[in-house]
Amino acid sequence: MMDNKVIVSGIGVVSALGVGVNENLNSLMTLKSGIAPITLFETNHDVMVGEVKLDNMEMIEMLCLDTSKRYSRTALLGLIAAREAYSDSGFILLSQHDRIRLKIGVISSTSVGGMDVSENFYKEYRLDKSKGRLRDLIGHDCGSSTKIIADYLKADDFVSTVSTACSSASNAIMLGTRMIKNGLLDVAVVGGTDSLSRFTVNGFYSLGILDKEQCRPFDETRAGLNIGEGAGYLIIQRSDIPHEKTYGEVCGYANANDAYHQTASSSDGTGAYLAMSGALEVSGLYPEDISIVHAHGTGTPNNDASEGSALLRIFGNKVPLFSSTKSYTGHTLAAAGGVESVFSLLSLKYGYVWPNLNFGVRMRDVDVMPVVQLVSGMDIKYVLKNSFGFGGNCTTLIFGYCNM
Amino acid sequence: MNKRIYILSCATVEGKNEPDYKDYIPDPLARRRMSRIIKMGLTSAMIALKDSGLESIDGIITGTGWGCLADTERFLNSIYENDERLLNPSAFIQSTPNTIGAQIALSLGTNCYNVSYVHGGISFESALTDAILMLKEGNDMNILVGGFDEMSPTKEHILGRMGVWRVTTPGEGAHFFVLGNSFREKALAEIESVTTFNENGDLNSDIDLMNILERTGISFDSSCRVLYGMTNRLSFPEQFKDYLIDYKKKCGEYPTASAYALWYGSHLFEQMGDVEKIIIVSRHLKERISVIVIKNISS
Repeated sequence: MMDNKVIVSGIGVVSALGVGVNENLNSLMTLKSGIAPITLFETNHDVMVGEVKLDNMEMIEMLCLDTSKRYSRTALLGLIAAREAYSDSGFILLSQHDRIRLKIGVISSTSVGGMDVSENFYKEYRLDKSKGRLRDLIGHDCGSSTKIIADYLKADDFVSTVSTACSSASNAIMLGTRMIKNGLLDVAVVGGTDSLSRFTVNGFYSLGILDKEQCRPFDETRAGLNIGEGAGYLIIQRSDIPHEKTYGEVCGYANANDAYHQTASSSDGTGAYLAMSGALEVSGLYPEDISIVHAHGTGTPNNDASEGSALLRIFGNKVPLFSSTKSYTGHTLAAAGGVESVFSLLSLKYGYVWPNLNFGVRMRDVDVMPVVQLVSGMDIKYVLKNSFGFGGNCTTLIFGYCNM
Repeated sequence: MNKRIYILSCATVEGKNEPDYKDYIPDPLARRRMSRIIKMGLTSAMIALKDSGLESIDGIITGTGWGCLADTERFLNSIYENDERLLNPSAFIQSTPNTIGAQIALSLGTNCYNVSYVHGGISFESALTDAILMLKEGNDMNILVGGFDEMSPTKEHILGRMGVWRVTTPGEGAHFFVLGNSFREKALAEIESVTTFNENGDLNSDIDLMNILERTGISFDSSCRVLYGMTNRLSFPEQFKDYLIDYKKKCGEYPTASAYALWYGSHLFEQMGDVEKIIIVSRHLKERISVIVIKNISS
């Protein structure tokens, strides 16, 4: 069996911190959170969210799409980030001659799909079954945004969509990596996209886990998460295919199930522990090799206690520098693993550790404390990235430096 | 090394033939909370696992085109009905497409790999691709793979408004398989390949079977059977017509109907005797075409 080395040769991101890698990097370095009161749609809930500061028409124009067609916000956000990543890697300029020699696929992920437009349909449909514009349903299926991205980038040798709630994008990155390692693909566009919607705002509200203030991951006084929106994609490829740049290597990955509760995490972080130890095993690394941990850290009392416990189980009293960037972007749900993997790769490439904003009080029951100041100039060899979702779905990725 | 992938057991629960869920989900409270598709999926998974005779599995991989429709609609309705107040989170919790995979893990108490794919008409093929990859990566592993979709009254009505039922008939079902990379006595068939590809054109154009076989590198002879399910008309040489079965006539149209075809095909070897290979060609409406090839292992 082949075992190709898989490297990251392009990145793209859109989040509440901005459009594109540069705007996001700038906000991360200047400690500027993108979380603010909701403006995208009317709601009775007093909530703070991480909105992307672009309306759908602006995105349609940026992407030079047919303005008479209907696109879900999820698809538009995904297209912007995926196009940036594909351009960054240089694959967007491939000649037809070179393109047909490569197997290029898109593995994306989303949890809400085109719910932002389906909601409009349903609002009318529920009162009168002959009402509601059918074209509002075009983006409803989770696979729809992925198809649009694959067609736009002409990268359709394999196309699929993962939907495992908030760990989705990390699972997409993992499948892409495994397919390349095993020779099923040469290059893959991997990541995820999710837009804000009434459905998710109300869903998390009904669970009572939304903080009215900016979220405070790993803080004793944390009161919940803020929902965000965005998209993050990586271009991953076989290392022996020509590439202009390298952000790092995907050297470890694993998924495990907490098998404890449909939405809550076990107090000892079983799923998180198994995902992290599984990823270490795949990479052949030891806990002491990990330079920093980019935590899932949603800001809910349950997640952060569980993840903190799992970190202690893996690293003992030598927990590496760690932080969550959810206090910058909000929780971008299925996209989180994509957006945050881009941030992890920026850490790896430029030697920064992103601080955990809004931190004040150390947790009493779980003895871990995140990084609260920007760290720069650090020699980062390996970043461990966690993403956890409903249904006990826990995924860990490990990105390593490349001296190429 | 080229490992062989075996179908060790399989199970199906169809909407028109639902079992008594009490036998599989004994806790009445849990049963009442579950939507129909969760009960269908969970039960189908439990039957497949029981039939395999295995005590444990190394992965749970699912595919669904429509996800948990009824719960999604229930929660959406409550948002508008109560003007965003007094929301019951249970429908929201159960609306994520990975609910069934998660419920299987919970009821088995297993921490193994657990991923769900939601990509229209190739959702089940995506799950199969992942499972086969995993079985090639490891040794002596067994994976539970499933495809399922529910037809809710709203989905049926909306697809009707879109004109879908003018060309095909509604269907639904939950089909689970235990795949393994070690041969066992009870194995039903071997999976040779799973491929999907883009196809242009509308529902009115003919799709040429020979072209599909050529594109996927499959040679056809009289020991092969083709199970096909697509809205387009399939064109093929006249002498093939006795080797073809339109499987969607049996199960109806839904994104993971190819999982039904795999279940149906797995039993055909035993029934038909001299068949060596079954080629399952599927297309859900205008989506990607998928080709799944399974082989007889009794000869």
